[in-house]
Amino acid sequence: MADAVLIVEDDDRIRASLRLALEDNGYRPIEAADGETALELMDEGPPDVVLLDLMLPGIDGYETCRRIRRTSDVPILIVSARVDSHDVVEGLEAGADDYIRKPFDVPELTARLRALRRRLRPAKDDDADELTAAGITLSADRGEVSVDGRELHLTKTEFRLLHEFMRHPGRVFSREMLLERVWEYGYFGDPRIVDVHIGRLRAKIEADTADPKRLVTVRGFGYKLDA
Amino acid sequence: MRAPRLTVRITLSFAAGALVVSGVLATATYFLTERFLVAQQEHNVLHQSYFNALVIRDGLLSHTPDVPGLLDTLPTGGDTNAVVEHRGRWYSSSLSISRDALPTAVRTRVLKGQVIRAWGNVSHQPVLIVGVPLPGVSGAYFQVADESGLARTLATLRDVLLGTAAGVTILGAGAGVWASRRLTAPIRAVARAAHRISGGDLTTRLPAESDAELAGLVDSFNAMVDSLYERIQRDARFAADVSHELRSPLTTLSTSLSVLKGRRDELSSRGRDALDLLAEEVTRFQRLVEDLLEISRADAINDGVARVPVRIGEFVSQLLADPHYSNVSADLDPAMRDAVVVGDKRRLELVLRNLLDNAESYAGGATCVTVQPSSTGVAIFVDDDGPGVPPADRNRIFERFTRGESNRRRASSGGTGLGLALVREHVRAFGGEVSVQDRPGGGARFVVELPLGRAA
Repeated sequence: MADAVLIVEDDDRIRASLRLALEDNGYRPIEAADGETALELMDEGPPDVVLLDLMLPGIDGYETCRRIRRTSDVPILIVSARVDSHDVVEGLEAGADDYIRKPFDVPELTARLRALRRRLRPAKDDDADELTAAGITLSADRGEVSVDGRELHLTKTEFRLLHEFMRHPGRVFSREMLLERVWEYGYFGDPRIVDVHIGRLRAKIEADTADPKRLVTVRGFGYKLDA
Repeated sequence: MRAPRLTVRITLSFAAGALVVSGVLATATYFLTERFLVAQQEHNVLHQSYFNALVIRDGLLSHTPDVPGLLDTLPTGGDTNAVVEHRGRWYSSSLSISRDALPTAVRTRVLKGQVIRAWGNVSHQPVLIVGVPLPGVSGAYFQVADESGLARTLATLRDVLLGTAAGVTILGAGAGVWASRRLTAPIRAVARAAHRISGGDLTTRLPAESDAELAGLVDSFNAMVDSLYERIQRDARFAADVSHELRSPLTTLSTSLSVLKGRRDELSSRGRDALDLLAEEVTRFQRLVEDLLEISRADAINDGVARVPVRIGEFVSQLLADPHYSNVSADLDPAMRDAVVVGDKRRLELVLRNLLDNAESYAGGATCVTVQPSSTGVAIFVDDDGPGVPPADRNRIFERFTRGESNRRRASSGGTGLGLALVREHVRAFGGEVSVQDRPGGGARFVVELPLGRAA
């Protein structure tokens, strides 16, 4: 069955054109003109991906994103005209997985949607089912993570990101490498996506996010999992 | 001719003032002292001469006057010598002073009965000569006082006064330097601040000033920068708002267009032609909106530029790996392999892409991108073998919406007129500079110079 894409967009014409384009590309669009409607539709049956505009009447995109995240780890792709530094970072911090700026090319959009969908599955099956490092246990099969015996709830993207580190404890990953492996961006992807996700991951696995012991920053290069 | 610097002028004025004042004082002091000393000396010598003349006259009144003996009784010797004329004969108290030492005019007038006081020279020493006629005894008394001591005193006084005047002049010049520094310090502070502001740092303000006159300058300067800042922010916000507002209709346009492109086969041939035209113009419109937003961001202050280290060699290789630039070769200096610039990678990408696109629009495509060390850090050359850029246009092409001679073609090449302006804005955001020159062997060479960050 075709992937269901929830379009949360207040501009009728953009929503209508997106519906046409997504249908032509084999998706099943569901439309919501505001945040409240989107949350109701989420309750009725979660879609496979959410396309979320940040400027919405009523509860805005950031708040909608946070509320969706309370109950669901569905991939959220922010679609926004405002892509200044703080807009992107705030949207990603609210729990979004990726962003795309308006106006976009439809092929670019469908490429992002495919990348998000691929993240729903484990990276590769050539790994051991269960990985343990730095007091973290990750089960790729069951999609479960626990830190010091405590069960964690991660979004799909956070899971994939952590999985990448767990497969190579101690290895330093540059932002570009992570963008390519997790988000399927090339060299020129936005490094802030990585930084915000590292921050979110730290908030879940570190005792003190100001002094990370597990996911450490390698100055001038990137990040590594300190095993 | 340009006037000398203000500090030099102030220093010279102070020095000149000090020179005039000390010169007048020294000259006045010298001449007053000289007059006083000379008058006193003349008075003393005259008195002594009268006294001595009386002694001589009394001696000559005797029947057998012993003139040499008389001379010996006088309190002469050392500085003072006496010469006596008696009945045509001359007697002297010293061997060095004789009749010939007395100027003829003095002798003649004294012998005629006048008391004479005159200055003369004996063996190059100044002497004070007093002649007293002694008519009752047919003689005359002359006294020659060596006044080289007085001359030495005056010479010393003159030297001291000259030295003092010179010292005061130098002190005046020193005070001038100090005062000019003090005076021009606020001017220099304003100049430095204005320089930083023109360099783009609109957060620059002058520190508060306690001096009332300077406080006025500082306040109005800061107020001027404030309003400039406001204005630039407002303009930037407006451009950003316009750009944002245009994004929604553009999204509908480009999304609908992609639906049409997907259904191209369903269109008639005329419909397809129209679709292609539409697609090209939407792309161009989209680029213009993007560039407008970029330029408004470059104008906005504190727009939160990401500052991440970018390995310049890797960056250029990755960029040229784009199949679109397969005809562009890369020449990376090995010394620059690990060189890092710190800044927004997206902006750096835009800089190079715009330069490569510019070469494509005007010169049939870039030929080579070179990365090499430069005096300021790293230099990136983007070369083409097109017609080059005439020297007169080399600054102008980096301005907004200005188009060079060959730019009429740009209208049909999809350019926005903002590409090179954006390049310059973004390179400056990195603390660098961009310029264009002739490539050795023909064509244009765009040079982007960037400061290096800490290699990490």
